[in-house]
Amino acid sequence: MSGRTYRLNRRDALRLAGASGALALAGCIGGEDDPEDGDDASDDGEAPDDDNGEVDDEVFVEGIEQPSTLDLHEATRVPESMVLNSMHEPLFVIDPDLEPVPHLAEEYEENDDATEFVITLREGVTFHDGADLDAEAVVASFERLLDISPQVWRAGPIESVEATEEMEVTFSYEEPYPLFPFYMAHSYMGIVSVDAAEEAGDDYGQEVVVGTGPLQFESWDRDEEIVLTRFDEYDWGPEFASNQGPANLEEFHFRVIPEASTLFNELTVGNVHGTNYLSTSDVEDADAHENTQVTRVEDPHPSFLAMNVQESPTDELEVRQAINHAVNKDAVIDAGLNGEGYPIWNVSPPSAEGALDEETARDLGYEYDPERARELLDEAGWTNDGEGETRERDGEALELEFFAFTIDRYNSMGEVIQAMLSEVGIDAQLEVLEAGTLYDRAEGSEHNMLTMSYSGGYLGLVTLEGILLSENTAVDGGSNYSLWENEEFDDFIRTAKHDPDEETRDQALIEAQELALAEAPVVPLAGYTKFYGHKNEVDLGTWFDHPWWPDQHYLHRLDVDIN
Amino acid sequence: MFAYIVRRLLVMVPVLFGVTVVISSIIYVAPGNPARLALGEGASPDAVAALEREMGLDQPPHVRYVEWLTNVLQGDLGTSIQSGRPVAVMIVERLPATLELALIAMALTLIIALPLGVISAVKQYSWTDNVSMLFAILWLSMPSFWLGLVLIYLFAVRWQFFPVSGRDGVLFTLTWWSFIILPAVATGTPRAGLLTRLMRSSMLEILNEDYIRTARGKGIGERAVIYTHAMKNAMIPVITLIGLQVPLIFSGTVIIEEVFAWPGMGRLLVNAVLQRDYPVVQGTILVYSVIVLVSNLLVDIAYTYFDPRIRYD
Repeated sequence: MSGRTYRLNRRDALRLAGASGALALAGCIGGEDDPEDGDDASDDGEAPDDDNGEVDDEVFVEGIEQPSTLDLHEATRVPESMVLNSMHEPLFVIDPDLEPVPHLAEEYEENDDATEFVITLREGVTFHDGADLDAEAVVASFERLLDISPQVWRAGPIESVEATEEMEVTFSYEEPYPLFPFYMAHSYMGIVSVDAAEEAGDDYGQEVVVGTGPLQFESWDRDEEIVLTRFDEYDWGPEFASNQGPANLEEFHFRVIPEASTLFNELTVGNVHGTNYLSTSDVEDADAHENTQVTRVEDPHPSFLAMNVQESPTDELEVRQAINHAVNKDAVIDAGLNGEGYPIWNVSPPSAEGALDEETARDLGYEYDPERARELLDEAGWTNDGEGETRERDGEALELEFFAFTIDRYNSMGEVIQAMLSEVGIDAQLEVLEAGTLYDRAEGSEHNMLTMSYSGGYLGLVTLEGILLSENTAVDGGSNYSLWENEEFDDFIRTAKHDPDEETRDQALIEAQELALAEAPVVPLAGYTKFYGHKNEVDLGTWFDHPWWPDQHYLHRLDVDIN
Repeated sequence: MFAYIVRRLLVMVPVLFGVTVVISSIIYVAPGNPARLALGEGASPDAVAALEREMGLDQPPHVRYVEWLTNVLQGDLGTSIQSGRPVAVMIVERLPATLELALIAMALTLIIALPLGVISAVKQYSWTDNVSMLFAILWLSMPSFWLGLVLIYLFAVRWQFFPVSGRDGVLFTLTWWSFIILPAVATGTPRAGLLTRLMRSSMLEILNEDYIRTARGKGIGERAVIYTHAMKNAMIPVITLIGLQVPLIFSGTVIIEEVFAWPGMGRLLVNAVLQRDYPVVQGTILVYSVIVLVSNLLVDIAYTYFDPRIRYD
């Protein structure tokens, strides 16, 4: 090419850049005016539904976090189950009296030692692809669950699942499993169409999802939104719901919005109708905003400090008890949860099934009493010369390796707890760690204490076994970060889970909790307040009437309407 | 020129290899168990161990790296640990969104910075110059995520000119513009600050050159002197800086995509890092590296357009 040609090209390029700039500017100006006058439809051929907080009355937009998979048998996280439990249903559901009642099951019988459960299936239920729900389909779903699901432990010590009639399934257990209906009511125990899963192959859970729930899968734009549509055949909703089906609204869009303040703005002035992912620091503002309101419930989801009983000095009972007395739970809730929580004295909050009532837990647990904390430490030989000084014993300082997650609430909790402990002479060396690093170091038993929470759901038993059972210690990859191994406790839990006699089970669970309080491997801090922020025009039906509504999203999508 | 481009493309190979070695070393050494994170709280130790075996995490890091690299050379970026989907597909789904955002941000940077820098230099010490430099310093000082939040508050919440977040609409339509404009401004303006200042200083230097005085003495119009004689030469250092801005623009999109819920590669990368999804982290960074290297090559080629004395033969 010649130099002349170069000059012409450069000039052309500059002109083109100028023209693009003008176009860009025109676009900016047009963009400002456009949502006001509703010209989008003529521009894109799209309904003007997403631009300026004005949405179709038949579309409900919910703000969520990004799921990894929509295959129920591979899912493990809350963002996934929130979407999945509108598409899949379990054999049982929990009613507002907190009792498991048959759902896809019509009725059931169990033998005397609770090792066999015969389920008669509800007639007339179909999958989203039109296939009938029958015993073969249920058995296939459970076989797939037993084969691949990380949630398989909820199914219990299962021996076999057989289709004994066309509409009858028999579950046989190796040992008594009297809580079968409770465990089977969990959303992870929902029924998946295995025929659809096999046909879709690797696309199942990504491009194809088939269940029997009130909503069916439509599309998934990664990091943008998941769209579910109304399943028009659905008419088998639970009796206690205001609507047995089909759902009132045509579409549900689950928008993935990772940044807290952006989600708050979308909820208050944007196009999100409702979300339970509001940051605790935004809840009060959302409640006060003219466009939105917030409904709250005390959820049996504990946050706590796990104390490593295998490392000095938290291997000493007096030290663990002193730490319990030194922590002011109300101050922790204010600092970490912006007041959106409630103090707990037992790691299984009182609203959980089988948990100690609050009065008993307070009586057996540890009230905030820094003076008593100091006495306990003195008795154990940890002494100091003056208040605020780190205690010592035989020349060794009373120091703790204290880990907290980088997540704001844990980080803030860690800081106030560190200050509280220093007041009784304990030097807690706080390290704020990203989740992967924290889990890794905790599994290596590098901690004395760490901030933790556990969503065991509505069964106190599940929380207790997750946090404190010997076979679940973190060094083996479990969630017992106290590394507490107590045979007596394990026996209580086994009895509470497997004894056919209800009274014996209840008593064992109480004794397990009493033992855990006496041995103090954890510091119970707070139960979470679950909240749901939504626009004023949203009618949530009977969803909030259910005491465990945060876990009953299928009810929400069945009942919800936009006025 | 052709030979030069081929040489540069070949040089990219060892650079990309080096990038993969460094990135792989960092993520394999970093603490955190992806199986544990994937299964979440409540998972049994047996389930964690089984998933580790399935993911190949029981293999030594160098074995995993060699296996990954072998697959990459065959065009397979691997499979996501968390979602089980092909990494290449996940990247292709998000690449257009990131490219859109980065290109519009870059265009905005140039549209703001070049005219402003020229005007500031031509009208040195005037109020225009002072105001321009004030804005340049403001843009430079503002972190893009903070600017993003301010833009959302003003233009989406308070005045409601634009949607708060997300991405929608067909390319270059008004709906599309209404979604992209705020994230593009938040990504681009901090870069524009630096570019404005450089353009101004470069122009000032050129405007004091003898040949400019000669041009004016010959009676050439002021407009021609500035745009034909001065600006072209002043662009050389600016082009260099533009090349250096490309990686910054792309790294800026990582944060901005989070703030504006923009479904691009940045969010994919952030989530993958937090979940220790090694194949996705490796694949995403590889693609970012290719984009940066190709951008730098294009900048080098652009030198020859602005200064014909530069030849790569």
